[in-house]
Amino acid sequence: MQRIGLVGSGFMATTHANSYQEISDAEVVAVASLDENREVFAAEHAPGAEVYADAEEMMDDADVTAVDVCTPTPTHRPLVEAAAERGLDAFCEKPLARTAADADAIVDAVENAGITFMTGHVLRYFPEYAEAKRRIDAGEIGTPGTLSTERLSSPPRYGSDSWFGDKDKSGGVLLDMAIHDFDYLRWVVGEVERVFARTTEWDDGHLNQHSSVLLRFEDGATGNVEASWGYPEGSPFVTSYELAGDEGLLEFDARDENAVRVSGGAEGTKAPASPLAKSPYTRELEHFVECVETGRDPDITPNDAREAVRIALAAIESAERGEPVSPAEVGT
Amino acid sequence: MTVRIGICSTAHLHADSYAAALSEHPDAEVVGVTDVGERVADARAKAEEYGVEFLEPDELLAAADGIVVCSTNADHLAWVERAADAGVDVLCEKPLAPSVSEARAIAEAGREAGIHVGVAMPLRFSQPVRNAKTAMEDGLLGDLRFLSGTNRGQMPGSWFVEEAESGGGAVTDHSVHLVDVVRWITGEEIEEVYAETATRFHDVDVEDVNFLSMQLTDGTEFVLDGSWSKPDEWDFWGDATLRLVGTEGVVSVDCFDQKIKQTRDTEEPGIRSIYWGSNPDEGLVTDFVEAVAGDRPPLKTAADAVNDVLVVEAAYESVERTAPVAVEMNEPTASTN
Repeated sequence: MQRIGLVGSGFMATTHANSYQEISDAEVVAVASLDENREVFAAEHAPGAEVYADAEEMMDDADVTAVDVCTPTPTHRPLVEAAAERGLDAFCEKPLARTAADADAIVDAVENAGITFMTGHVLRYFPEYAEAKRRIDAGEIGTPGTLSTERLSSPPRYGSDSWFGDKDKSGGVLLDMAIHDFDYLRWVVGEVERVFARTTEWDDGHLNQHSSVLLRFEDGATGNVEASWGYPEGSPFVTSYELAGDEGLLEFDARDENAVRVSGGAEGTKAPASPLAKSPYTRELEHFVECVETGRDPDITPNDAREAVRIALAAIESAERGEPVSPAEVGT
Repeated sequence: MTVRIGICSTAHLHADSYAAALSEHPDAEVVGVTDVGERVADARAKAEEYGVEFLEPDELLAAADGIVVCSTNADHLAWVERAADAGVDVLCEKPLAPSVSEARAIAEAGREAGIHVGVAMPLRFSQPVRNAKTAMEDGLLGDLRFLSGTNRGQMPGSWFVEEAESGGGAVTDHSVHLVDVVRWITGEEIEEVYAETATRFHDVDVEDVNFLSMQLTDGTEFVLDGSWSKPDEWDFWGDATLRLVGTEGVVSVDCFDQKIKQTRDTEEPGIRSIYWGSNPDEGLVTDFVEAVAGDRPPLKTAADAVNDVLVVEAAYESVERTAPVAVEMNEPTASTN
């Protein structure tokens, strides 16, 4: 049984806390958050957990075996370093870090401490993405040629102090959201040689961004990751992919998914939103807990998470410079 | 009056659709089909299929008020020059030419002879595209900031993969439809293009991957996937989509997302999709017939299409240099040829 110390009390912390309630080998025994909602959060999503305002105090005082970091991106490094210093296994939300230097520091810290460490590239646990990867690995599309993904949303309206809208903190849509697809495509195809990105942005009280990143993989395959925080408020969150090879094609479009449709309904009632029996977040955290219990290395390595950050940072740099940028040259 | 239209070469498979639309047009008559050299036999067969005569080029040009050129890209210039000599208007298959110099020569030949030379851009007559244009003109988008399009298809084979006949692969074949639509809808030109190309899907000597990342003259970003990436077994020939992202709204069009899904156990077993939406080729052909009758330029002129070919040439230069390339556009000439 793993005793989890959860850091954060926002959107992702809620998702993780709810998932832990479904995992028999783990329990959130402590919550640390700077937000004043922490008591209410813990009572609702982690009943019985001790509540702290300071994460390091929680790591020292609470009887935790692992730490789960669900906080704004720039705080990942100090929090993971603090866990590593104490020999506590750690899970960290994506993106791993805001800068290449912070990503390097985290990788060094967790490897030197020898802790079990995993980053939340949850797309690998979404069945529609995992299934495509399995089929590509089995050779069912032949040699990959063009791999296109879409991830389209309105600007995040959650997050403490609207930190998502502060690019210095979140890195914007490319580091915070497109990174899902960067990690996925790197997982499927391999290392990225260069990216060329175009991003537009405007402010309507929230940071709106719409971006396209052309990718050239080292093996010669190509890709296009299109990511948006520019859709109007209330627009459905949409993901899609089209993965084409010389022997076949895999297509997925969330707009075509209609497993459950509801019309009307009595006041105060609702149908469950997800047609999946188990949330991808639960699957992801189950894997982490299993690795902690068995000492296995998680499927997502610290370096995987670092490389995904580097691709995203290369994309940001490319959009700023108007030139193709190699992830290898980021932060050097 | 009946407008007499001749079809010059059937090397491009779009000749079938244009012939069908012309034969159904109340004010048009297909006077015949012609071709030269090795393609005469194919053209004779097509003439029979369309139920019209095969004529020698001079006979056809003498009998026609206008011609539709469906030759290889490399032969466009020669057909336009013949039409110019005969004083006959032209609707030329896209892309206008395999090179900018030939595209300019086509526009110049038409201008000097005083004939109208149009270019077949059926997406300008796609109702979803027109709805997007209307929405944009109505101000729905607020400020337009980002465009993303796809024009993916199956690899066409034949002369399309012979660089000497086509000028190039997917970049040449599948860039200009959406580039034209975007230039038409926005009134802006393409200022800069970065391209990623490769040959990944087929054993051919030209590129079948075609990703273009562009910027318009007003700073709007425009990304296009015009790859030949659809498998031979796909349920349709390809797609044409465009998303317009603005500060107030987003409009997305999928020009051929009006399809019946058909499954057959016999004859041609398998699943295919049958397009039932309004046929853009009918609008294209009607515009040309009316242009010939009214002695006016077609909606899309050769002079305007030179700028599409400039984008294609800049894309190839970008691949050579692995860098974005500035497109040196001609002066806007959209309203005349």
